[in-house]
Formats: sequence, C-alpha cells, structure tokens
Amino acid sequence: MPEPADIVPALLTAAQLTVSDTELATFVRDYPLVRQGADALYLLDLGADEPAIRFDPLDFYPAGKEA
Amino acid sequence: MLPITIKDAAAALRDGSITSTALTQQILDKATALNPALGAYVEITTEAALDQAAAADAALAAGEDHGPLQGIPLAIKDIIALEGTPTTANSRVLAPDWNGGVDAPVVSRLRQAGAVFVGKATTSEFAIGLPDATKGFPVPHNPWNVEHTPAGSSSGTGIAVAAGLALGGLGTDTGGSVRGPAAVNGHTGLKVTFGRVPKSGVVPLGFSLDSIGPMARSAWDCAALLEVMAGYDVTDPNSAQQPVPAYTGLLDGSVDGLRIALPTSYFFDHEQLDPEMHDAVLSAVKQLVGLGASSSEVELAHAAEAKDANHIILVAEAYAYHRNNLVNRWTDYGVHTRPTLARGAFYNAGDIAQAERFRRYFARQVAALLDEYDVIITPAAPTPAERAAELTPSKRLQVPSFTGHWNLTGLPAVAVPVGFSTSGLPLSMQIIGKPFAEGTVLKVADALQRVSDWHLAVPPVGTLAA
Repeated sequence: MPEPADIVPALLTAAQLTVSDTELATFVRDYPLVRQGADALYLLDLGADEPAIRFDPLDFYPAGKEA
Repeated sequence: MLPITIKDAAAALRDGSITSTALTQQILDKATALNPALGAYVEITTEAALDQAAAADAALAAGEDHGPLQGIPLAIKDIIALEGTPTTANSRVLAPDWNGGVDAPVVSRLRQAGAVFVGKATTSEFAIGLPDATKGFPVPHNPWNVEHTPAGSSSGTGIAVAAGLALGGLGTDTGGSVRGPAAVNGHTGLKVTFGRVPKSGVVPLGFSLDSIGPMARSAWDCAALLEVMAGYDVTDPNSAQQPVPAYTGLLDGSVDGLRIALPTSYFFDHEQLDPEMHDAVLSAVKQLVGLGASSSEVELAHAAEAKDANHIILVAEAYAYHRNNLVNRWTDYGVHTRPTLARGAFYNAGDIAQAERFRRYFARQVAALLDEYDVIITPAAPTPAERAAELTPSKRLQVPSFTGHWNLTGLPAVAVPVGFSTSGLPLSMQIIGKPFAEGTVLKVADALQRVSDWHLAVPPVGTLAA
C-alpha cells in the first residue's frame, strides 16, 4: 500500500501544482483525513442511487422545450 | 440614537424622525472609524452611498415609496458585483474589472428598491480561505472579541451588521458562509433554497451549492431583504421559477402546531459540541414549545458523511474554476486558500460521482424527515467563535460542521441568536425547512425573536474607534 508521502507528491505533480516543502508536509499529514472523508461515502445504503446531477439537453433549446 | 434594525429605520424614515442622508452619514462615519480595528470593509463607497441616500430622501419626500429597503444602508460582500467598484474576492488573483463593473442582478434589485450601499464587505478569499495578512486586504475581527474569528466567508457583512456599520447586507453561502458569520457575530442570517436568489454576477465557489442570502439583525429584516432579492433571472441557469411570497407578511408570531425535529446523532451528541451551545439551543426550542410548537428527537443517518460530501463537491467544483490559476499563480493565492482549493486534486473521479450519489441519498432521508416535521433545528455551529490564531485549513477537516448539510440538500436554513457563552460570545441556533419554505423558517425565527432579544445585543466596539 503506497504511503501518503509517495501518493501526495504524485498527485500534485499530475495536477501541475508546485508547492513549498512546508505545504507538502501539511498535505502529506492531512491526506489520510482527506481520503477518509471520501472513502466514508462508499456506503452500501446508497443502493442504486444515481448521482444528483442533471443534464437536460432541452435546456439549450427553449423553443423545443415549449413544443 | 440610530435605529439598529431595518424595520425601525424604515419606520423612522417615514415618520420623519431621521433622513437616509443622516442615517447613512452616521453609519459611514462609524464604519470609517472602526474599519481599521474590525476589517469589515474592503472599500467604503462614501460618495456613492451619500448620493443614493439623497435620492432615497428625495423620492420619499416626493411620495415615492419603494418599500422598507429605501434609504437603508447595506453591506455587499466583495464577491458580488457592484457597479462603480471593483470586485476583488479579497484576492490578488481575480481581475478587478471582473463582471465589467455591472451590478449583479441581486444588487440591481436592491438598487431599484432604493437601498444604499455602504461598501464592499470583506470576504474570505474566493469565499473559502482564511485571512492572509500579507496579501493587502483587511483582516476581519469579531466585534465581540477581536481575538476571535468573525467566521467566513461573509465575514465583513457579519461584522458590519453586528457592529452597526450597516443595517443589513448580502452574504453568500456554499457550506455555511452566511450562517457562520451570523452565528458568531450574533445576528440573523438566511441561507436560501438553491435557486431562490439568482447568483449570476457573483464569483463562483461551488456551482451546485452556492446561494446568496440576506444578513441582518432580525428575521423580519431578512424577510424584507429576501422579498427584493428573490425571483427568477434568466442569467442564472439554476435560477428557480418559483413565485416570491411577501415574506414579511408571513411573520405573524405564531408557531402553534409547528412540528420540530431535533436530529440527535451528530448535531446534538457530538463530542466537540460546546455544552453552552447545546443548552442554549434546547432552551430556545423550549421557548418555541411554550409558544405552541412540539419537538421530537429524531435520527438522521450519516450526518457526518454529509459534511464530507458537501466538502468534496465544493472543493471539486472550486478546483475546476481555479485550476489554471492554481497551476500558474500558486503564490498569488493566500497561504490558507491555496491548500483548501488544492484538495480538489486529491479526489478522484469516482469520489466525485459517489459524493453526488450520496447527495441524492441524503436528500431523500432529509425529505422523509420533513414529510413528518415542519422544520429541523440544530445548533448553527459547534462552538462560539474560535480564537482566530488557532484556525487552519487542516483544523477544518477535523471539526464538525452543522451547516453544509443544507447546502448539500439545497434547503433554506436560518441562523438565529440564542444567547451568549460565559466568555461573552454569541450562541446560535439553525432552523431548516423544506425547499422554498423560507417563509416558514423566518416565521419560526421571528416568533422566537418576539420573545427574546439576543438578536438586538450590540457589541462593545466604541473603544476600538480609530
């Protein structure tokens, strides 16, 4: 299992972000908490729930929507 | 003595006991004197404010009455475009001519209602950072104790309302940025239903979470502001085509038969919830019950995860907006802003989709609760204002928050003062309602404010004047 000290610099490099050594150390320290927050959302309770995002192509064609 | 509420000032303007010019001049003088100590305003627009005040007086004298906001001095958060002044978002990154010097629709509506703009109020950088004194913008301070935070991101409007540097104003709320400052500065602040107020002309933070809300001493004042602010505008793709009630007319003081849900887990039993906050909120609920409401303890599953889901969606959407500037202008951002925004790089595509799936799940749980109850009540914050020197972006990951849940679910929520801590800092309660039930949450807040006066307390800022 890769450690935060390995993961965080890789993610920052991929994102093209150049940070100071102090900032990097803080990111590495906080990374487990950041991941914990995301991992906690993979709940069985969600079942077949779809993402709460909507894209309606008719939004771009008001006349068509009226029809 | 100056009126401290919009309602009282509106009455005084009409009975001739004060003019808007006199009211505005006194507020401008106070704002100018206290701004070095409190950091409420990025810019005080004295000349324009006095012109607006004179126009309001002339209109009233001519019998033109545009409603209770006419001649009322307001603060506008500096991520909201205001004609004649730059919009800075308290950042070296944003071009000062952002939005082309044109009023945001919400500002235009206030202008047409005859409001007076005292100036651009301090915001956390891009509505997300903590103050960075090296960037040249005012550092905001809590008027009850300048060593403590005024919270963010609508810090300046919160300070201005509390300290009498405006009678009301605009904040924005993506995870609690209206309710947090209202809570710790000791006044009322309403986060509106997503889409209730058009948010075009406002620097975005989290596109699917952002809202513009009124901040003022009382629920009545917030209702008066919302009546003007709310309503569809074609320039905001998320603007709702819902009728706008006469909110002030709904505030009749009655909560008879109101059903209150108190979600115990997380919101009332969290180990980091301050006992004084806990007790003050339950005491206020008891007052509402004494007025004819009923309350029940309920379960709302996965409230802790909801805080994370809101944060993930917020930083993902913010990261999308800021990505190119983060790559090219990292150090132009404040020292506390950039690490929070950069968290967007630490979540993967699946995390974002999962947060959106969780959002639907949690919204359904809340909807089921609001099918049985009229409102949900929680503390507005886990603690009174924290010491400013102790705040860091890292700490924000570790502490509970009770506000982002209602951005995640898009619901209206009002923060209302319910007392003071033994250390002299405001305590606050949050009332949440169904979509577009701003009238209901304001009505409950107003009923409480008819039997309490916490919202009228004025911080002792006189000794801070420059």
